[in-house]
Formats: sequence, structure tokens, C-alpha cells
Amino acid sequence: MRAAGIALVALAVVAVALGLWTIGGPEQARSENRDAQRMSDLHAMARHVRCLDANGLDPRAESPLCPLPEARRDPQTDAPYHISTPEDGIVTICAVFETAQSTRAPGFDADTGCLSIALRSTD
Amino acid sequence: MKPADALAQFVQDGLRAGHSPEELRRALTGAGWQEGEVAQALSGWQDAGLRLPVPCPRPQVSAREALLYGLLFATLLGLCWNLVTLGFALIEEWLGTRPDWRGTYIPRWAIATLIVVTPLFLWLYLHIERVHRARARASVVRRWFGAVTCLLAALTLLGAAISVVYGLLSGDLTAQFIANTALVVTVAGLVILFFRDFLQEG
Repeated sequence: MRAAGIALVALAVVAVALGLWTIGGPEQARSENRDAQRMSDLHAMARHVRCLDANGLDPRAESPLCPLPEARRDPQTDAPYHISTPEDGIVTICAVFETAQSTRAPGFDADTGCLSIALRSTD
Repeated sequence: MKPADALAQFVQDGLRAGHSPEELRRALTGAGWQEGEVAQALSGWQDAGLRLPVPCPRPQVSAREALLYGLLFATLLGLCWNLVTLGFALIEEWLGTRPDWRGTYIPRWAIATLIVVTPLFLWLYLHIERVHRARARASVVRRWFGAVTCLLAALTLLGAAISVVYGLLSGDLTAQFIANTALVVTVAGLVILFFRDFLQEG
């Protein structure tokens, strides 16, 4: 086989090895998928809190006006997401992420894994 | 009768009548035929001194051969495309320039494709070479495969050269841009080096 052909195939093999080393294998992919689900859950819960707030209800209340999001628990541990009100007019919903989060979504703190929602009813 | 058929018939009749290939060449070029056409027509027959021209094997196209070269072309295309895609993604990852919205599904698809396509490409190439050597006969499909592959690789190199000049003019000659271009040039160059012999061997 010609040297250029060997080099082309070797390049492909090295690229696959480097790819798996850099991006991670199946376990890493599963972690990323769970984190994507957590992020989606946080935003769904944030919409729910904003809906309650817009209707003048308590952020922890349940109301037929604002249907509860389907997933309110961690996809791996099944523990509920942590909801708190660190200060007046602010609600935070937190999840424990497995991988480093680089998203710059408004109100999301990548270090703590918490999404903050400013309530309008307290303005 | 097509002109090429008439030419082949003339050469056959001429050899049968005892004329030498050189005499036939002179007669044909004198009649206005091109040197290449005459050479091709003469190469179809051999004067073995039997007063009967012996037909030489001609390049043939078989469906099986077309299938094998088609598969080889598809796997080569898949290999190169995904190698470059994966390379771009890794360069982005290493330089920390991957946008947040772009996940890791693109390099994962590229890895998955390469894992399947690379051994298949290797097997097809070795199989085709084995068959080609055993048959020891010219192949039109092989020559066309080499021509199309080298054309695409050459166009890629041309595109890379234009991109470099544009990057230079627009002030976008970043480390990522240079690394990406180097990868494309490397892959296209290897493809040309690898398959240029197919054009000659045909």
C-alpha cells in the first residue's frame, strides 16, 4: 500500500483516538445528555415560576393557571431540584451538573448550577 | 459506422493484408487522422507475424467493478469529509473557540462515521488492488475514479488557497483558520498522492 494511503488512514485513526480522548466516550456523552435535561428542566420550572408570579401567586404554589412542568426531579438521582428564595423578589432553582457548564443563559450561574428568576410582583 | 470503428476496421484489414503498423500509421496520418487516434487504433491489434492481427485486451467496464469503485469513492469521501469535520471540531475544542450552542454531537457523528468507514475503505482498496493485479488489464472505471478523485482534491486545494488569500486580505488569518486550512490541504494532498497513479495505471 502506498505511503500516502497509509498516512491518510493513520490520520483517521489518530483523529478518532484524539476525538475520544478530547470529547469523551459514552459515559461522558450520557453525562452531557443528563445535564442538557437538567438545564431544560430548570428553564421549564423557571417558566412555571414566572407564570405563577404573573398571576400574583406564590412561586411554590400550584395552580391550574400554570401547569406544572413534567420533570421536576434530577434525571439520575431522582432528587427534587432545589428551589430557594435567597432574597426578596428572587427565586433560584438549582441542579447538580456533572459536566462544566459554559452556557451564558440569562440568570444562570455556571459555578453554582442555579438559575435565578427575578419576580415582577415584588417590584 | 463510427469513425473510430472505421479506423479499427482499417487497421485490422491493413494488418491482415500484410502491411506493417508503421505503413498504416503513415497512411492514416496522411489521411488526416490525429496521432493519438492512430496510436489508439494500432494499440488494439498486435502483428504477431501470423498474417492475422491479434486483438489486444481493451479496457472494460463491468457492473461489479463499477460497484466496487463506487463504494471505494463513497467511503473515501466519507473518510475525508468526517476527518476534516472532526479535525475542525478538535481544533475548536483545543483553542476554546467552540460556541456554547454547539454541542459535541458533530464530532461524535464524525467519530462514528470514521470508525465504520475507515476499515471499510481500507478493505475495499486492498480488495480492488488484489483483483486489479490479478487481472492485469486496463480499467476505464479505475481511470475515471482516479480522475474524479484527483479533480475533487485539486478543487479543494484551490478553494483552500483562495480561502487563505481571502483570510489574509480580510485580516482573519487566525490560528484556528491556519490550522483548519493546513488540515484540509494535508488531506487533499494525501488523496492526490494516493490516487494519482490510478490515472496512469488505468
